[in-house]
Amino acid sequence: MRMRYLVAFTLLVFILPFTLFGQTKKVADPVSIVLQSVANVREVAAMKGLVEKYKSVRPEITVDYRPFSGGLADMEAKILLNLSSGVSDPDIFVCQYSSAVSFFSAGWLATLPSKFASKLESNLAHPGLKSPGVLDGKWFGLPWSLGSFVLAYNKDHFREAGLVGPPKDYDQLMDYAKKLTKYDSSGNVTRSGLFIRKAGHPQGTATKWVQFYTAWGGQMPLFDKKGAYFNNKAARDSLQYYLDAIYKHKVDSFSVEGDMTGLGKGTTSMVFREPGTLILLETMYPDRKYGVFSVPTKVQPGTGLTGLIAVVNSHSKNKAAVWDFLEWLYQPENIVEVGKAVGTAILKQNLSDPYFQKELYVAENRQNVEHPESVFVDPMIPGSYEALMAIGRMIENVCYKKLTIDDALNAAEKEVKEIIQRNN
Amino acid sequence: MGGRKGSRAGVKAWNRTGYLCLIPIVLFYAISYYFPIGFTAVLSFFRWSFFNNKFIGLTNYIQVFTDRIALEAYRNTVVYVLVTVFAVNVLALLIALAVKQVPKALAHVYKVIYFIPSVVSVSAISLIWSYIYNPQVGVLNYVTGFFGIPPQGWLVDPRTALFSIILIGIWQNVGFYVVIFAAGLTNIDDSYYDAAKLDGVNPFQSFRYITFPLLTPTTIFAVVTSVILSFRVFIPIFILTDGGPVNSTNMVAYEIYSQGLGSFRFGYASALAMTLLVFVAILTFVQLKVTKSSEEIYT
Repeated sequence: MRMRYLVAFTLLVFILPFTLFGQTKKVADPVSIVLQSVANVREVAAMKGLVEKYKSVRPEITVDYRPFSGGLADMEAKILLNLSSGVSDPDIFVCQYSSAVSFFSAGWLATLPSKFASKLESNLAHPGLKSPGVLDGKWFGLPWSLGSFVLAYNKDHFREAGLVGPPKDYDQLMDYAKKLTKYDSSGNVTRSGLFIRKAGHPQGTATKWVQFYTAWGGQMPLFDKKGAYFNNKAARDSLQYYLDAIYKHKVDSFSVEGDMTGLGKGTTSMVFREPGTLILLETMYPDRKYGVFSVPTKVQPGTGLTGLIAVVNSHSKNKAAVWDFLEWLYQPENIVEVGKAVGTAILKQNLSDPYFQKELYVAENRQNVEHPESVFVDPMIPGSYEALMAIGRMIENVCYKKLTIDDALNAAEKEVKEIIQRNN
Repeated sequence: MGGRKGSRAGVKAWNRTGYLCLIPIVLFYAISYYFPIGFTAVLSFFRWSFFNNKFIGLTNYIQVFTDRIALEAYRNTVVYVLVTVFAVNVLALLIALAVKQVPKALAHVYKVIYFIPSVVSVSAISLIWSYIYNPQVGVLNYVTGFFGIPPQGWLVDPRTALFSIILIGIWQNVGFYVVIFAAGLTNIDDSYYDAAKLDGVNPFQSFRYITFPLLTPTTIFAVVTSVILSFRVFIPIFILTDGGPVNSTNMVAYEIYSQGLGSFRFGYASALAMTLLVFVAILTFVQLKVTKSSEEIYT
């Protein structure tokens, strides 16, 4: 009987605690984290593959990848409701950096752990990739799909017009456009030599104008928490270039399908777009032969950086797992798979990947890596989106001749100042 | 139960049962309709963006009535509603009258054909129309080309963009109201027309003095519902124009979306929504008053 008590006591005091605590230390509790993005088919495939690969490395962490089937604005609106009510789902999401800056200002996004941040910064393909995820010196957004504009052109149209090589500046670009434009018997443009983004969603119109504004010597940011700085000569001259293209030289028209679709259909010969979008031409219009040049220069070289960043929900209940996953994901051999799907070489090591040796990426990476000072990002303050909308509407009013350049700039400056004041 | 019929206690019990039965539906409406409306009304007095929330009194309303973009959105919406409601109802009535003249079996076929656009998703319709309006390969320019009209940028020219959106609204809604008017016409007894024939009235007089007055309840329903539906136009703008070019197709419903979910200005978007609600409510009230008095004249 005594022996039985002795055995029981020994078990209770020595073996049981060992078993309980020992097991907890060896095998951590299973953890699940949610990652959400609006993704194209290639991105979904890449992410699913990476999630599986990560599972083999960290079996205790499950990454629940949830591609969002609607538009980006819809996803951000849904996430906004979660963030504002302290919901931890999703732990990680991919969004526009103009939205992320507002989320971060509200305290809903986590900053990168310093060790991860310093390692990542030294490995970025070019310094511009960090800028869209930084506010007041705090880094909260990881580069995901970030592309700078390049000049895409239709190779057949170039051959037909006897054009060889890239235009060296914006004056020569206009000369190229004149040679490429086609008209009907009444003088209406039937094929635009150069598509300029002059209407559509105003934020996109503004973002694409930044490239022209900076090329004409305009300094960034367009605005910050203290004021608006874009009502200047660079803005006037670059907007005059828009008007000259539409009304004086008639190389672009509202009635001709332009942009990516126009390039694909052959109704426009040249367009500025980011390679991550241009790559879609290969699937949408596989027969179309197009080439890519770095952007031309005017007073200074300049190109705009546009796209999405990955951010971490500050309400996440599994931050350690989140950062573990992201540190793993941002290793060169893993992030290159995301990069190939979204068209962005994120790390230096990815630049030498055969995929990024394609003509369009070489052109982009050459301008970004060799001239990092000329890669401009939209202003990073709360209210940026709204202010860019105001600037986009200004450009549209100028292009449709509803307002003169001076009146439009004055009105937009006033509106942007009010927006800044309201949001900061 | 029968024995207690008419007694005070019986009536009370009956009333209690009635009120109890109403509770679920009242709760449903309170939660899904009245609470959001009430909350929107509260938000409209705040600068509410989740990041920076502050009570600002009537500032949002003042901005609604002074902001150029909001006023243009209102102007566009009113134009859209007036033209669409008038065109939809007149066309629907004419088609319903024409359909009434054909044999019954064929009339059903016509009604189905006209009704189809009303049941197709508005998103799909908008995409189809984007091809029709395409300035270079669109069917519309091809057709207008026969009449010597040069190709138009229907959705990119501020002079034609609103008209193009209106045309989609008319095309999509007319079929639904054809069915409504056709049902109303069926309810008019043929004896009126037979008597009128004996008196030697012409078709126009027959329409003026028999059809139109007796169709008044149907017309009231059609006009009121088409006004309310037209004020809510959103999807074609969202898919085709983003409110442009130069704000020429921006409508109040799209501006609410754009300010709320685009710029995260929930307070201002709520003020826009409340003004629209009040505007539509007043308009509907006036419509019902006016049409009720005309109904009394005719009946």
